[in-house]
Amino acid sequence: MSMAPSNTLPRPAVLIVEDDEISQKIVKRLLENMGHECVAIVGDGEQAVEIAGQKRPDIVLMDINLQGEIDGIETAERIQKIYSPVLIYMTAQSDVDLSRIYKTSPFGYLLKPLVLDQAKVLLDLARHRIFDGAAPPGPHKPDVGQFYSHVLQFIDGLDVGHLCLNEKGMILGADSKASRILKAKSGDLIGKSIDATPFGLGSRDRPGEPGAGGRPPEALYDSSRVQVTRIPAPAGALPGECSVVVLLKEIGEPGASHSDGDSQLDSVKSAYDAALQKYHLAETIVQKMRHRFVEKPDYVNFFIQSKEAMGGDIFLFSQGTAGKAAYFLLGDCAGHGLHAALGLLPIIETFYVMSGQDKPLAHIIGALLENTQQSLPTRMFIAAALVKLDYARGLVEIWNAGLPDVVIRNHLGELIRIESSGLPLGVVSRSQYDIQIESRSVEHGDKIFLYTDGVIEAMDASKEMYGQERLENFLQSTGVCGSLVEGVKSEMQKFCKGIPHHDDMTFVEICVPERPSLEACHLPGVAWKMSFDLSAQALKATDYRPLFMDMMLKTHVDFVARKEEIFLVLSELYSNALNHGLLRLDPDLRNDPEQFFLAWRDRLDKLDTGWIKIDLTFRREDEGNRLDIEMEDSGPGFELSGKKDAGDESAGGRGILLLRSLCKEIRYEPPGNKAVAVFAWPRPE
Amino acid sequence: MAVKVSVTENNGQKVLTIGVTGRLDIYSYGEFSAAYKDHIADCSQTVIDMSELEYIDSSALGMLLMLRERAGGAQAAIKIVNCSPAVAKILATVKFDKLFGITPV
Repeated sequence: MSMAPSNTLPRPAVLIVEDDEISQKIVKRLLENMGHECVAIVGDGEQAVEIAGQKRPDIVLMDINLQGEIDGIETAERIQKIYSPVLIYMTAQSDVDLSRIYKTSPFGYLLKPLVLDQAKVLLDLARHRIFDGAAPPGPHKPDVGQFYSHVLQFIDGLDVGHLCLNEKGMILGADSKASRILKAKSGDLIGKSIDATPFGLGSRDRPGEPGAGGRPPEALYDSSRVQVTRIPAPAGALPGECSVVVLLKEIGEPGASHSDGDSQLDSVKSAYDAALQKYHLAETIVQKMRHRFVEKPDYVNFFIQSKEAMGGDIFLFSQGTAGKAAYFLLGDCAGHGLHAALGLLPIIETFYVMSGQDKPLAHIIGALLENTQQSLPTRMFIAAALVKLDYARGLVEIWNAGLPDVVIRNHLGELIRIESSGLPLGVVSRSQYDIQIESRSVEHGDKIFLYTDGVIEAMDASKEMYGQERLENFLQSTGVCGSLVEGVKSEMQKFCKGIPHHDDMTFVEICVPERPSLEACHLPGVAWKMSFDLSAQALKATDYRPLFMDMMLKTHVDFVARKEEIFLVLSELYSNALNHGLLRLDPDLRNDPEQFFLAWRDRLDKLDTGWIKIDLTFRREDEGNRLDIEMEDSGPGFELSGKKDAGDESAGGRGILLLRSLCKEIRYEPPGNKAVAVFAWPRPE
Repeated sequence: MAVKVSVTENNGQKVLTIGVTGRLDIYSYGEFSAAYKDHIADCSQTVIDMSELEYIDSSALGMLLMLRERAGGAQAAIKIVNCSPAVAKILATVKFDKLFGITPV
C-alpha cells in the first residue's frame, strides 16, 4: 500500500467510547502521543450516539462490552444511522460474535489489554483511510455486512465453523464453532496462518495485521480430524481485507459419518456460491441500469462521485420518443447494499419506460411512488428530483422530493429556486402523497442545476460545510457560456483542501437547448397542427376559445357547418382543464351555477401558476375530416373511475354525455390531466 | 356577448324576451343573469331568441336551467326560438327538448 508521509496528513478527531477508567487513560495518552484530537470520552452507548451525532468525529474507538442499555455494537449501529465514521472496536472478549460485528463493517478491532504498538498502527492506518485517497481499500462497505449476513444464514444451524482469511492466508476472524473445532480461543487464532505455509517475507512484519509479529508458522488443525473447505471471495464481497472464507467441519466424530460432513459442507459451499453469483449479477445489472445513457446529449453535463459501488446516487436521463422533451431523474438513496440496489431496479425501469412514452410528469411520479412503496426495502428511501424539459415548448417541469433546491439560472443571471415540495420516494404511499410540480418557462441560455446534498455538505478540515450559499454565489458569478460543472468541482476541491468526500455527490447541469423547428406538418395526412401553451397569466387575461375557432374557421370551409359542435367539444375540454385542473373547483359545484360562477371568478382572479397545453391537429383523410383536440393541464388529474357517468343528470354528467355523443373518440390519460377528443365529420358533397 | 331584454304584453300576459348575441357561456354568466333578474318574476312567459347566438358551451346549459328555476321550475313556460340546427341537436342530446319548447330556425 502506498502512503503519503504521515506528517502531511491532517490529524483525525476521535471519539473514545470506553467505560473502564484505566483503558480510557491508556487510549487518551496514545491519541495525544499521536497528535490525534480526542473529541470526548464517554462510557455510555446512548451518550456516545448523541455526541457522535453532534461532533461527527472521524474515528470512533468503541469498547464492545459497555455498561448500560446498549453494547458497543449496537451503539455503532445507531451512530451509523447518523453518519459513517471509521469504526474500531476494542474488546477483552476473546469469543467475539463475528456476525454482529461484521454487520457494522468495522475498520478493525483491537484486543484488550491493548498492545500500544498495534493500536498505533491501526489508528495510523485509519488516518490514512480518512485523509489519503491512496489508502488501502476500505473495509468500510455497508454492502458487505448485508451480503455476509446472508451467507451466515446458510451456515447457521449446521455444525460448521468458519474463518475469514486475508489474501496471505492469515486469520482475520473466527466464529465460536471454529474456535471449538480448532480448540483455541478465537482471539488467539487471529493473526495466525491456517496452514503450515509460512507467510511471505513481506507480510511477516506487515503492520496493521494484529498479531503478525513473528509467530512460528504451524498448522492449526489436524487434517485427519478437520475437513477444510476454502471459498475464495472476490474483492469487496467480504468484510475488510478478507478474501477467503474457510469452512471447518469435524470428521470422524462419534455418531457422525463421513458422508454427512461432506454433504453438509457441499450444501454450504453451493449456497455460498449461489449467493455470490447473485451478488455479482445484481451488481452488474444495477451498474448497467444506472448508467444507461443512450447517448448523453451535449447540453447535459454532470459529475458523480461515489463512495462505494452500490448504493448512493443515481442519475437517469431519457429522451422521450416524440423527440420533444427530455426527462431527468436525480436520486439520493438512503440505504445501501444489495437489497437497496435491487429495490432500485423497478424504479429505474419505470422511469425509462414511462418517459420513453412521453407520459405526463405527474403520471410518472405516481408510478414511481407506487413502485417505491412496493419494491424498496423498509427503511430505504430516495430523495429525488424529476425534471421534464419540454424544449420544443420552452417549458420545464420540476418535481423536487427531498433534494436540495433545484436551481434555475436564467439568461439574465437570476437564480430561481425550486424547493422540495414533498417527502422522498418510499416513505408514504401514492394515495397519501400530494404531488406538486413546478413549471417554468425557460429559454435557450437558461441553465438548470440539480445536485445531491453531498455537494453542499462537503466539508473542509475544520468541518465547515461548502454550503448552498457558496454554491449559489459561484453559479451566479460565472459567465453564461460554457459548462459550470468543472468549475463547481474545482471550487469544491479548493474549499475542501483535499479532504475527501464522506458522502456521494452528484451535480448536474442542464443547459436549455434551442427550440427545434416543428415538423408536425410533414406527418402524413396532417393538413395542419397548431400547438398552444397558455400560461396562468394568459388564461386569466382572456378566453382563448373564440380565437381558436376563428383560426380554424379561416383554414378550411369544412369547419363552418360544424362550428357549434366543435366549439362545444373544445369548450368542454378547455373548461375542465381550467376549472378543475388549474382552479381546482369542486366538480359538484357545477350543479349550482351561481355558486360555481362566483367561485370560478374568484379563483381565476387569484390564479398565478399552472398552464394548459392545447394541440389541435386537422387531417383530411379519404373517409372524411378529422380534428384531434388534445388538452393537457398542470393539475394533478382526477380519479378516472370517479368520472361522471353519462347517465348522470348532473352538470358533469351532461358534459360527458355531450362529448360522447359528439366525438368519435374521447379518452383521458392517467392521472387524468390530459384529455384527447377526436371529432370526425364527413366532407360535404 | 350582448343580451337584449324586452317585455311585451300578449293577451294581458307579460312576455319576457331575451335575445342573446355571440356566446353564451361562463364568461357571460353575470351579464346574462343580471339582464333578466328584474323581470322574470313578473312575466308568465319567457322567450329566448337565439338567432344571434354563435356558440354555447355546457356551462350555458346550467345557466338555462337556472333561468328555468327562477321562472318557476316545472310550471315555467320557456321557449327557445331561432336556434341553429346544431344547437337544437345539442339541446336535444341533453334532453332539454323536454324542459323547453325548442323551435330551430
